[in-house]
Amino acid sequence: MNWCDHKLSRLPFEPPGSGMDRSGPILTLDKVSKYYEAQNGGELLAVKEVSLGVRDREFICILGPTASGKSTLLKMMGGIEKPTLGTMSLRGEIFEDGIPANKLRNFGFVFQQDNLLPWRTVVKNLRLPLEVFHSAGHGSADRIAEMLTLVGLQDYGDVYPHELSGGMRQRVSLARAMVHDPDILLMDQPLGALDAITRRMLSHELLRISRATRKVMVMVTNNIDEALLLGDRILVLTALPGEIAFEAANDIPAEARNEAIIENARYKALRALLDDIVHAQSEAGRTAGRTGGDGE
Amino acid sequence: MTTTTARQTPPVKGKPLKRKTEPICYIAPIILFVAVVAAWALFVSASGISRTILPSPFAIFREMSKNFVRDILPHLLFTLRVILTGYAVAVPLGILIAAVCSQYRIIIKATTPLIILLVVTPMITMVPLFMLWMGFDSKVRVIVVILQATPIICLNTLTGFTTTEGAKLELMRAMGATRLQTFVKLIFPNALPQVFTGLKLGCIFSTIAAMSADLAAGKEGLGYRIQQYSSLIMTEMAYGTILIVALIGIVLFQIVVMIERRVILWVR
Ligand SMILES: Nc1ncnc2c1ncn2[C@@H]1O[C@H](COP(=O)(O)OP(=O)(O)OP(=O)(O)O)[C@@H](O)[C@H]1O
Ligand SMILES: [Mg+2]
Repeated sequence: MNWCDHKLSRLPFEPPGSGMDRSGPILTLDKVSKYYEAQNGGELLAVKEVSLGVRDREFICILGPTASGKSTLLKMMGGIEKPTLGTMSLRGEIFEDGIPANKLRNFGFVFQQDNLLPWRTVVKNLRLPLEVFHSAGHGSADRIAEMLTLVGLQDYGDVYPHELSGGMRQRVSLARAMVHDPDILLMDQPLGALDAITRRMLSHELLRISRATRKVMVMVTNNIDEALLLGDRILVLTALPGEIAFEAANDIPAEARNEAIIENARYKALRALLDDIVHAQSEAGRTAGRTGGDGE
Repeated sequence: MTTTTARQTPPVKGKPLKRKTEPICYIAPIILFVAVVAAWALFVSASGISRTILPSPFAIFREMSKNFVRDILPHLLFTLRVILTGYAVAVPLGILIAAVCSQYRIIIKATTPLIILLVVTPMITMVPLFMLWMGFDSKVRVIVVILQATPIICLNTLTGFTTTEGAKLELMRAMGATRLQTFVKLIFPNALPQVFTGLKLGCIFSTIAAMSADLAAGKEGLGYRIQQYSSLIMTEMAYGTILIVALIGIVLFQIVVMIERRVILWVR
């Protein structure tokens, strides 16, 4: 514990935004909050005043205790939910009421469960975004094949989802989110439903894909190892209502992010630190839940 | 260095896994049928029951083969046309009504009890009323079939339309899909198993409804024939005609099952 506090005071992370500041943010959130209707008729504040700028080619990882509004935050970024308060902007264009439908071509969304349509083969699942965006013309077959090759499933195009393993399904889901060539890929615990071995394997594959495509990626995860392997910037949310508790750049160099990352001294230090912060947030959430009886 | 793209042998391309039906599945109903007929024949000859109550299956077969072409076939065709015409209208109508109703939660809530009411109303009770309004012709029978089959198709389809998984709806919303796109690409295909349940029940309801209409009125149709044979104490022919009606129901049902197998290739 002491050791970690000591680390904190020495600012172990690069402060965000320092270093290679390439350009203005692609996507910004300005004091975005989300209220849900609660079962008891009241309102539930799921995300509280989150401000965030997502820069080009950046990989952001969001950590946080369970039910801390991580999914809600990501869904607002991806236009699935509208923010109750606050504004968002995409390449400088400001939106008061969430990202409008006609801008969603810029986003790809990967869900925690693969969310494939069971009545469509793998190729037809990849066709879905192209159909919705009216770009399923010629060339789409090549694009789909390219995406399947990227995720290593080129031989499985004509197969139905139920014939695939969980890991393969999640790869299809990833390919589907990228098939219309979005700028920003939003992933809600994309590896959360997988077993530990598949999960580790796919996290390295995700790293390869992110380097190959150089897309902006925002990933929610409950796994610190994943965050340190993939994230250029790591955010930790507080327990409900989700606020940004901690934000820092990950300074483990790209060369060191490989299978041997666990041997890296910097990795070990950051891992211990993040572990502590996430733990503290979960703990804080739990005690708040116990003492603040009226909150529910 | 990782073996992430290690190939498993891919399944045969373009061949979705077929659920093979074992031969026993075809043989079992035949064996049961033979057993029932044998038991029936045995019971009739052992108990000496009057042929006006329960004729033997062989007597039924004998009478039927003698009179089928002349006395039954025209009525069979007539009834079949009524059933098929009514069904052909009921299927798109039921699905269309369900599609419209499913657009707003409030409409679903408002219409569901009404649809259930129509499902459980035996249309035979309405036939005299219809005749009062429309006079007497074969259109009345078709309308009876439509009124009996549409609600059950609609009810099942509506259930299918309203049980779309939330995450799948979010998937469509994440792409900014329009209402129509969401319906065509998600809600409708997702509901197909329930739609088929409705279509199968629709076959049965159509057949029953056509019989009701025949019984209530008219001088045509298998239902009319059954009534006539009973009053003439031609019990063998009455039973035989009832079996023909059952056969119509079974065949229509099986046709829909066959179509369902070709359409629904995924496992849920
Ligand atoms: N559609 C909704 N309607 C009402 N409340 C909701 C809705 N979606 C989420 N919530 C509530 O908002 C809070 C945050 O949920 P959210 O799914 O964003 O958390 P999360 O951090 O993603 O959790 P997890 O790690 O378990 O996925 C929870 O208390 C949840 O019950
Ligand atoms: Mg979540």
